[in-house]
Amino acid sequence: MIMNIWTVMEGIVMVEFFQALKDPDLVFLRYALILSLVASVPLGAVGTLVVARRISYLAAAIAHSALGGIGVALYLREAMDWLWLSPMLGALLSAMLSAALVGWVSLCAREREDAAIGAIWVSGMAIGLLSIYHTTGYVDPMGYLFGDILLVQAADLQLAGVVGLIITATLLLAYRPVMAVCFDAEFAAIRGVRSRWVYLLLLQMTALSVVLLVSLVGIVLVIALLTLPPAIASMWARSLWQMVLGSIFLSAGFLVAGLVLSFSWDVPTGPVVILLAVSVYLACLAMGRFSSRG
Amino acid sequence: MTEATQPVVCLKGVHFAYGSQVVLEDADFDIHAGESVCMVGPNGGGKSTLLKLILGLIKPAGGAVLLFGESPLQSRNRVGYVPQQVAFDPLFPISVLEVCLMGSMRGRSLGWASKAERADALAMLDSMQLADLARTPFSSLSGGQRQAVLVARALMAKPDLLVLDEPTAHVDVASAARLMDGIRALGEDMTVLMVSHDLSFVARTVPKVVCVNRCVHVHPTAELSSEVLNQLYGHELRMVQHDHEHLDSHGGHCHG
Repeated sequence: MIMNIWTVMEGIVMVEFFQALKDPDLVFLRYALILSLVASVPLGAVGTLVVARRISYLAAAIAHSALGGIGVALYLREAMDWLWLSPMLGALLSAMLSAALVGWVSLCAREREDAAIGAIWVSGMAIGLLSIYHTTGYVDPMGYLFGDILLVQAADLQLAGVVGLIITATLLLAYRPVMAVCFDAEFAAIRGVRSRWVYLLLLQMTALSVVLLVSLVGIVLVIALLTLPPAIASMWARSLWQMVLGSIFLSAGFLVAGLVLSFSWDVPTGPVVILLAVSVYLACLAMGRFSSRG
Repeated sequence: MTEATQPVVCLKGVHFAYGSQVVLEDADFDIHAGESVCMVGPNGGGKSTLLKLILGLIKPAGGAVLLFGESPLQSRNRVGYVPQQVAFDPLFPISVLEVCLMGSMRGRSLGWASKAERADALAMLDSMQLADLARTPFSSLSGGQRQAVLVARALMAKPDLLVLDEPTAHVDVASAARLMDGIRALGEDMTVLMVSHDLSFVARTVPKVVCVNRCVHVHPTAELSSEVLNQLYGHELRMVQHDHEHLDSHGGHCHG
C-alpha cells in the first residue's frame, strides 16, 4: 500500500517536472537538465581517476580557487565593461591556473605540500570574495559557492558542451597512459610515458570538470559529486572502465533526480543532489558491511 | 665494443646526493649478459637510488650509467621492471589483464590496447599459469599471484634486462622459488638484477652480489663472509653454513 502511494507520488512529481520543462518561463529548468546530462560524462570519468589516484584533496583546492576567477570576472565585467568574460569563463581560467600550481607543488615540493596546496585553495577564495566586494551592485557569492539553478545560462551550456567534448575526447585518446600513471606512475615512466605531463593533464581535466557544474551545485558541493559516484561505483566495479561507466550513470542519476526533487519541494538543487549522493553512498556502505558480515 | 661483449649494466664512478646528503659515492660495477645479480645492503644504503639510476628515473650527479652501452632512457625498451607490490593502492579497480597490458606500452601509446596486444598479454598470463585470473581484480590476488602478474607485465616487453625490487617481500618461500623458475624458463638469456633483503633467497638464487652502503662492492655469493656482512650492515651478523650451502637468517643472524 505504502509502495503504491509512493509510486503514484513519484509519478506526479515526474509529470509535473516534465510539464515544467515545456514552460517557456521556466527555461532555466531545461538548461539545468541539459547541463546535468552533458556534465555527467566528463564528471564521472574524471571523478573516477581522481578517486582512483586519491587526489580528492587537490581537486577540492582547484574547485575552491575557482571563486577567484568568478570574482575577478564579475569585477572586470563591471569595471572594464568586459562583457565577454563570463563568470564561468573566469572560473575556468582560474581553475586551470590553480591546477597548474597545485600540480607543480605536488610534483616538486619536498615538504609541506599540504600547506602550499591549502594556500592556493584559500588564496583563490580570498581573491574572489575581495573582487566581489569591490564589484558595483549586489552579487551574492552564495550562489557560486553552493549553486543556484537560476545562474545556468544558455551561453554556459555552449561552453559546457565544448569543455565536456574536450574532456571526453582527451580521456578517450589518453585512456591508457592516464590509467597507467594513476596505477603505477613509476612503471609508466620507465615504459616511456611522460608521467608528470599526464598527471598535470589529469589535474587540468579535473579543473575543467569541476567548473562545468559551478552554476548548478556550486564550487563547494561539486567535489562531493566528483568523488561520491566513483566511490559508489568502486564497490562493484572490477576494472577502471566499469567504474567510469558506473560513475557516469550515477552522476546523471543524482543530478536529474536532484533536479526533479528540488523542483518539486521548491528548495535549492545543489544540496538536494549532494544529500541524495551521500544517502546512496552511505546505504551502499552499510549494505556492503552487512553482506560482508553475512 | 660489440653488443656481445659490452656489459648490460655499466656504472662508472657514479655519485648521487639528495641535497647535501651523499647517497652513493664512486659506484663502479658491470653486469654482463645472462648474469643474475642481487643488490643487498641496509635500509638507506642507496639500493633504491641505484635502482632508480639504472632505470633512468633519476640522473647521477657525477659519473655515468650505461645500459647496453647507451643511456637508460635510450635503452628503456630493453628493460623490464618489477616494483615492490606494497607500493600499490589495494582499492585501485584494475583487472589482471589491464595490469599485464601496461607492459606492452610505449611512450606514445594512446587510446586502448590493440587485439594483438591483448592476445600477447593473455598468452603471457597463460605461460605464468595466470590465464584463469585475467578478468580478476588485481587487488583480490594473493601476494604470490600479484608478484607473478607484475613479472608477467615486465616480461611483456620481452626485455633483455629484468630488474626486480624485493621480489620475495610478502611472498612465501615456495611462491618465490616458483617465480624465479618461471622467470628463468621464460628468458634463459635474460640478465636479471634484483634487490633483496632475504639473504637466504640471495644465496639460493644468484651467483653474484652487489653490496651497497654508500659505496658499492661486488662479491661472488660464495665468498660472502660474516666480515663482509658485518661491514655492510654495520651490525654483528653470524653466518651458518648448512649442508645444502644455503644462507639462512633469523633474528639478525645470518646462517650460511
